[in-house]
Amino acid sequence: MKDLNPKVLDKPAALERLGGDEQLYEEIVEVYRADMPEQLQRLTDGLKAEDRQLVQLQAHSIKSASANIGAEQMRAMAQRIEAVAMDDEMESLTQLTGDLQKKFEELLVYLDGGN
Amino acid sequence: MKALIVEDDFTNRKVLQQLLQPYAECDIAVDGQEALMAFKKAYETDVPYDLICLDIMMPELDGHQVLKEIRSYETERDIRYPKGVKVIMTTALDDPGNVLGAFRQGCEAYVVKPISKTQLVHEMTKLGLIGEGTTVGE
Repeated sequence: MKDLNPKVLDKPAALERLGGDEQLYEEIVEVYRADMPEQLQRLTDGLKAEDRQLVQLQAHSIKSASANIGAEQMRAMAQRIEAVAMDDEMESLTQLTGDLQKKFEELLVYLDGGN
Repeated sequence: MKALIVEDDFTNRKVLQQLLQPYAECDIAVDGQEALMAFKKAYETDVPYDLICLDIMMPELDGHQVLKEIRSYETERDIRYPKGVKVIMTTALDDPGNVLGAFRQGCEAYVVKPISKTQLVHEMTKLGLIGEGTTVGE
């Protein structure tokens, strides 16, 4: 475990990956914000259907998308869901997904508050 | 240079598209089936891709299967290294087995997500796809 206490948003790291292109970063954040609610919905759908494979794949997608913008807490939580999707109780997965949903709402507030 | 981005995630697609834009004319495929269609069509219309950025973890047809199909399509037509399309696997999986498998199936390189411009440009340069100052159309 390298990230015991990940940041809500590690913008400097994400920006560096994009070659310091601030405009591109903003564009990617916009895409992420627009797309994430649908991704979270698909994750919830997967849980309801008890489709573990879908849950795992969807958590993987959320992890990967979150990493792009440096949303480290989202990334870490999605990674956890991906890791346990095949084995954990559905109840526990539902709990984790609820936490992830809340984390996304927090991230939106954080993004709106400027940084 | 002509490139095909194969990626099911919207945010990842956007990142790749923007990072490749200065160097390549990019097409997008959102899943494995679409990727194979695009690859074959480009080849059949005599404007094959120089580069395919291929995501490993996708629903239905995953990156490994797509790569396998691409290489067998090329082999059937006697398109052999170094003439085939260059494939860079993009993966968030830091699992060495997965990456090794991809090399065995004939990818040229891989980049780990989240993708960085430096890493991508480095791999494209190593593959001889771009030189310094290369832009679209070269």
